[in-house]
Amino acid sequence: MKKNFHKNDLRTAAILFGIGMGGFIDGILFHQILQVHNMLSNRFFPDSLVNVDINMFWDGLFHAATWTVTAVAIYFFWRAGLNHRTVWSGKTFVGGLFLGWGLFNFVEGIIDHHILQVHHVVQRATGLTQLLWDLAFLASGIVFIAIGSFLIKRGKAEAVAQAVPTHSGVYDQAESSLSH
Amino acid sequence: MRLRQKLSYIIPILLMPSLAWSCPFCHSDRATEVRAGIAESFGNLSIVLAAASPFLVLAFVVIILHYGVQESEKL
Repeated sequence: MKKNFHKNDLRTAAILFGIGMGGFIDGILFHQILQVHNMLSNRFFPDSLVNVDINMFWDGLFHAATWTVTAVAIYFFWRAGLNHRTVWSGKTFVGGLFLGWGLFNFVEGIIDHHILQVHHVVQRATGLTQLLWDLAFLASGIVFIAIGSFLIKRGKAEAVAQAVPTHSGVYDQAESSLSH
Repeated sequence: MRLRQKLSYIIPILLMPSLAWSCPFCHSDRATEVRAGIAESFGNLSIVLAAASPFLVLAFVVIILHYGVQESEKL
């Protein structure tokens, strides 16, 4: 049987929205409003106008990347809307948002904070405090991934329960929604 | 669109690079240092990797989730 990958469009869109929104939360809240770190604040500590400018440039590239992820999410969301077999589950969507946000925090935390150390969550903190903030950021990622996976699983279970068999014996959510 | 209207759009676009080139900030010591810092950071592999690799890893994970993990075939 030919696999229909478009069935995953809503979940994929939600995950990409989660990554994008997670990136914007990091960029807008941590980089700009709270100013606890910038993209390269561990290499160019923002204690001079020149270093602030360099960090601002790299923060811009970071925001451009998160914007691109969000744009791709819009594409998948639009495609999901055009697909009559899309199961519009709130749990799947919210679960995808959490999963995407969690993936962003976890992957970005591991690579940027721990492996390459271009910045830390709270740059001005030192020693153990700095490490604890970095670990808390990672932990938030793991918690969000767990919440997201749980909600997606619940959404899938509900969709299966609502589906009805078609004449060909294949379950069809669209037919199910028409019958209600 | 009349020629005058067209020119009103085209001329500022053509002038903009030269205006930017002649602006005082672009030739200041600070701007020179910023450009040098950005060039230096682009030359540092770990910095470029730090900016790009989280998104590459996330793209890989999303592709795996999209094409690798199928919803129930019954749906």
